[in-house]
Amino acid sequence: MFRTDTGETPSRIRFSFPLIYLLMKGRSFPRPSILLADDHRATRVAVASFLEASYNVVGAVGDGLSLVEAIEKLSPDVAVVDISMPRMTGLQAALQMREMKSKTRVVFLTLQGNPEFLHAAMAAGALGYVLKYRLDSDLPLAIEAALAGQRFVSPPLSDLEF
Amino acid sequence: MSRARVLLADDHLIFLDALTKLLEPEFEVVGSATDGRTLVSKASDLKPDVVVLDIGMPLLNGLDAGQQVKAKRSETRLIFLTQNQDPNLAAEAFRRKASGYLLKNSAAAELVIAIREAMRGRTYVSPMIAEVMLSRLSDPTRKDRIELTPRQREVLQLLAEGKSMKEAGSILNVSTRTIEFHKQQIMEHLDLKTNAELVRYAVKEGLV
Repeated sequence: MFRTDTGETPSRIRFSFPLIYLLMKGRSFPRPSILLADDHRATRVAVASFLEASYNVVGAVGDGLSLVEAIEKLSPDVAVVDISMPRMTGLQAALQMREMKSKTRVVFLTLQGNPEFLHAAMAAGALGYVLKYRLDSDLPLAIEAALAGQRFVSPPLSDLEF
Repeated sequence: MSRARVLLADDHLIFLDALTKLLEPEFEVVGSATDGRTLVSKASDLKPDVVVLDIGMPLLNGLDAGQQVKAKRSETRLIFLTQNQDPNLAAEAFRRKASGYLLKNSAAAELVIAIREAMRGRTYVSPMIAEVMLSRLSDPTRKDRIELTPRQREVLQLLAEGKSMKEAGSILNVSTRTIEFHKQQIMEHLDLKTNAELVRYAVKEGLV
């Protein structure tokens, strides 16, 4: 909301709101890039349009193998990933990404609320875990946290984290 | 004593297979469906004692299909399975007179118990659901649901799945104009401005 068309922070903002400037400084200008992975077309459409206002959605794939390929090619800042996908699951893809030493931060967006999946996701190096029905409220928070290298877990699950 | 007759519905064939093998020793699995519309028509033909159904199914989701099945034959017991953690779904299922509600990752044994209980006229709720509903009580961010009519939900699911208005009309046996009308009503009622927002609402509600 402070950005001009070129993606630069106006100088009046830089100097009058130093804390905000510092927080935003760590982000990549232009807008952070996000890649989506979900085998349901409706979810890809819904999430892409939702995120497009604030982020650069660089692609949307429908299975885990395509995800790994896209990560290699595009190196997005964040990947928003479903767990259950054909060819390779989101969890397997996250593990692959870690092996590839990918810098992309992984945020899971899933129906699965089972603690076992949550633990597996965290063990695979994901930073975020968002329940799909809480997409509106939680996904932006999870993405911002991931960009700052922090974890975020949807509140209904967050005390199951450890 | 004859075995209870069970009809299954789930869009994952592997899961259907597993369910059939699980239940066959004790029950008579009379058929299966991979989408809600087929379920409704098979239930009408086969008149099972119990329907075990997934909530998330294409064309017509389990909640709405279950409602139609119950409307045609109220003696049919419904046992819902889901992987969706949304506590609202449990509430919706019981509003539709569910005899059982289980999360898919529950132990297989729970389903057998649930069917036995349903046949005795009792209701079975997976212990994990109690947890889930308790978490809902402490979650103030979840607003009260805005009610769509059953028909509006049907239309919304089909459109969100990517069907054109013409395709949706032909699936529901109504004119394209009627679909347009429903879509307009839905968008006004929910204050949605774009198709993408419509789809997003459907995703959040677990319709797709």
